[in-house]
Amino acid sequence: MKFSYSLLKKLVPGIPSKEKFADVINLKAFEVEEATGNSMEIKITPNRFADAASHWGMALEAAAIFNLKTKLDDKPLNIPKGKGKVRVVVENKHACPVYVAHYLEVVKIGETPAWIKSVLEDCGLRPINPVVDIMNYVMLETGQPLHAFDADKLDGSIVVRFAKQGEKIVSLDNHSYTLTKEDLVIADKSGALAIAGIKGGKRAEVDKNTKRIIVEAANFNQANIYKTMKRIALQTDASMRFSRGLSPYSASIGANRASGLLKEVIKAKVVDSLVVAGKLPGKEIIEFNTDKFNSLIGLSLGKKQAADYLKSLGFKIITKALKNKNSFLVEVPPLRQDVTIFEDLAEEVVRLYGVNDLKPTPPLVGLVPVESDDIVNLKKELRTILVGFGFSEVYNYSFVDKKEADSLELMNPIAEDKKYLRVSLSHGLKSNITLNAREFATLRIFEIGKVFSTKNEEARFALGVKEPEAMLHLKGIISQLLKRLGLTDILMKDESNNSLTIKSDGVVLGVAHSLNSNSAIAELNLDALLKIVIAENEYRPLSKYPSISRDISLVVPRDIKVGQVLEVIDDVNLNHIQNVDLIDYFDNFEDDKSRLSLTFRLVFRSEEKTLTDEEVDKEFKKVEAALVSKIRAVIR
Amino acid sequence: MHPLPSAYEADEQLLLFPAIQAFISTRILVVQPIFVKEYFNSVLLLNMNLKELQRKAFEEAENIEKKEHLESFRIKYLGRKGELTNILRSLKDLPVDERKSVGVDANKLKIELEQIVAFKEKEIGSLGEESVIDITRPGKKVNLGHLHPLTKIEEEIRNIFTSLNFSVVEGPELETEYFNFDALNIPASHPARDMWDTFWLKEGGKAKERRLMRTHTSPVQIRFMETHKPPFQIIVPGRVFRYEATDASHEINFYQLEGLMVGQNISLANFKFIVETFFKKLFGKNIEFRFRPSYFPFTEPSVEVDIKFPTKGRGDWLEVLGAGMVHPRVFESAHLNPRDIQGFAFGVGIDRLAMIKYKIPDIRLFYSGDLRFINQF
Repeated sequence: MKFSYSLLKKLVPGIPSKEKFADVINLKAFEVEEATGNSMEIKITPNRFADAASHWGMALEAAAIFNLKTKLDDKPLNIPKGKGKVRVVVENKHACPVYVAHYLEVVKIGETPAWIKSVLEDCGLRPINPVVDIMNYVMLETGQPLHAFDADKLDGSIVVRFAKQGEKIVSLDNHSYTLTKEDLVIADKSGALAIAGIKGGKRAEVDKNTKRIIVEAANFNQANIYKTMKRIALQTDASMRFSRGLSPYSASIGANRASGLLKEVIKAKVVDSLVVAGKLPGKEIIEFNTDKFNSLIGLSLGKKQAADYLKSLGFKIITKALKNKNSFLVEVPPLRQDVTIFEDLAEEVVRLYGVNDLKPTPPLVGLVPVESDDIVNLKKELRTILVGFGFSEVYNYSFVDKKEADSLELMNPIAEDKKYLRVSLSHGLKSNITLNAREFATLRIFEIGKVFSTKNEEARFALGVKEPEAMLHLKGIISQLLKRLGLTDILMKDESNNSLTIKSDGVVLGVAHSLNSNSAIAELNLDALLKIVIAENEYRPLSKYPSISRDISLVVPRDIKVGQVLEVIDDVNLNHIQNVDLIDYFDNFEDDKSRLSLTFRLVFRSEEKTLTDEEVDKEFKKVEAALVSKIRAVIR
Repeated sequence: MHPLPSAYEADEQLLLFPAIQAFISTRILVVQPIFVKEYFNSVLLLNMNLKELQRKAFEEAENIEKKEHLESFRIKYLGRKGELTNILRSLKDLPVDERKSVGVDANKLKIELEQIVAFKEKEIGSLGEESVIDITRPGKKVNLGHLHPLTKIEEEIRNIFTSLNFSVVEGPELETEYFNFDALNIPASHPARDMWDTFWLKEGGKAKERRLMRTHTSPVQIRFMETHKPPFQIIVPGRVFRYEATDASHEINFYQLEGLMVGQNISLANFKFIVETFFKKLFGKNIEFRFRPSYFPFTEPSVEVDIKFPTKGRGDWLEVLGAGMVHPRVFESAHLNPRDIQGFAFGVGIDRLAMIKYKIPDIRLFYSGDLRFINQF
């Protein structure tokens, strides 16, 4: 929000130079974003609009921070009331707790004085005419948005009510808005005059011929204004303030100041006034316990010191003895709507003391062992292994353009290609492979991340490989990876010609797809994996006896798969078998493309003795026999 | 000296020859004596001369390192007047029976020695003086993977915090409105909600609760506190989402780290110690700090932390972290009594820290999947 440095200096004589002022405000109250010329951009937090989105409020802050006095024109004015010149009906006092109307007679509108214009311009507002400019100026000073109606253009009483469904209004700047039953309006017999708390209408606009004006200073329910502002997407100086919540006590303050200025600047005459109000909030009184404060902040302030900080901000200290002699009662100023509990007071004290000056102190706590989520450790281990295998890690967006059967959809996607939550990581990895293929001949990439479906949210990891015989590399990598994570029983079963299911201990962990001869992708469920990984390795005695290897070469018809051959060997139930490896695969016979030559190495080893050639031969013969009978292999 | 190749490194083709296997076995005599013993078992029938000759030849072959030595070896045993040739030549003087048995073994030895010569020739060829490789050539490229820079920095951050006795906890990315907002003292229609632009889920008509992509890691505060008793100190790294136009410093998904420390007397001064320690470990001891008051609905008092590097040219204050003392209503949401406990919470953007640390100018690079970028880390 923009502030005028010269107005602040006028309200708090003695504040330091603009730069110094900005630095200190930054450390003790609000973030000062930039400061060009005479204007200052001070970021008012949403909880402080009621008191600080105004020059008077900022002046009070500055006075407390710099230990100075304020000079505000906030003396109450003697204003006539109850003359019947202005009539107001508030239909819903919850939506509009206070409505203050001042009725003034104007002789000549004339010109806006330069001192008002310059403040408006510092704050980014355009001067229009003296009446409107004074309304805006008073809003800048007091934080209370005001509106002036041409009283002669009104048709009967002012009514504060909810709009009729579909009711239309043309704003001052000639935009037409269609309202709903949830939008509050200021109206008369002929219809809506203004969108309450947001924007004035064209019909009762003040112009250079205006002779009688009604100044409105009202308070509106924060949530109502917030909703309307969001719905019609109209952010104005008024809606920005009301939608964050203003104090109902501000209304009279604003109306008084406005009438005072109209009188002073354009010689207007205040003829009548009216206040329509429901029950206003009572005084907020909070106990401040100095010990509790010191424990929460880590300080050792005295009771008086704390009380002085609060007093400087306009809080009243109630002199009444309390049971706890380190406690005192504090009355909150009416505009400080943000202060409702002890911790709010604690913040006021510590920020004036200076959070920056607080001494960092190591916590004194009992030692509790670190217990991190298992998935955190598993992900770390996965990454270590995969990087060792030459995989680089990518991060993709959680949103995709591709809809699957069980995709979740966003209500408000940011772009057409980011409408759905990703159901898999593979989709992203495929694009990564395509993108990087231009720069890299071979690729190994992985991603760890969450995927979402109508069923659940799941942690996954996916591997993408681009290199000759990609699928075979990927299979080897997956088994090594899973073994390294502690799995012993790893099964990859072909589901179709190009996809495998990866299982362990009967649990389906994921799938591997061969995309083409040189790229393949696998995706595994991290949550499922987490349930079956064995963290501890156990020592197995080293065998004292030598192993004996036998190679078997066979020729089989082309349509036989290696998986089938391995299954046959597996089914033989060999004694002492330690390992079966495919060591040669040849399918390029010049004369005959219908055959396939395979060589397996069988490694035998006993834990009890040195195996003899005869014993191994016996087992080996069983394999030969099984291969010949079951898949009609020709042993070479 | 050329290191002995283990049997498993040797050329696969050569391995198929039993002689080479035996030869290699003798070379790893110390490791696997059993192989050698076996081998000798199988040649027990050889007469002593033949056996001795074989032992001698194998031993010599072992030490051959130069081509000319290999040639003398060949001449010594297999040459026209070589020792084995002599034995073979003498066979004709033996009785038929012995000639047959010794002959078979002698011929077998001859084949073995020829294979050894061939093997050695190959081995020496790769290191022989005539064909010494240019060792100034660049080393062979080894492909090692690269961790994503966000992973790298997150790991560094985790290590710092675990060294400070914080546990690492995670939570769901798809959240309910309750955990993301209401439980954190951000009611509906509250202007504070505007601080977080939210991606909402399109739900079917009968959805119990509105769901959203979490806008911060703070919901995990509630989830954790609902199931744990203080004292505790945790960090929560994770992906969060904001509905906003992307540019060099804004992304629709990014990473955040939440911190939460709760106990009987955890104070704002304790927070300053923890957070300063963290940043000094991450960015260096000489870093400067600035603590400013701020506003978050779930902390009271609230503060923001800026850091500044001492080096010239990086002299601006950088806004890096928001924090505060946990709001009593947040404790109440998690069914804890705020009268018994107090503590601090903070949130920091991991992407931002990575951008500062690695001098990355554009947040969108993190999600580009471009390996030219990732492989720099």
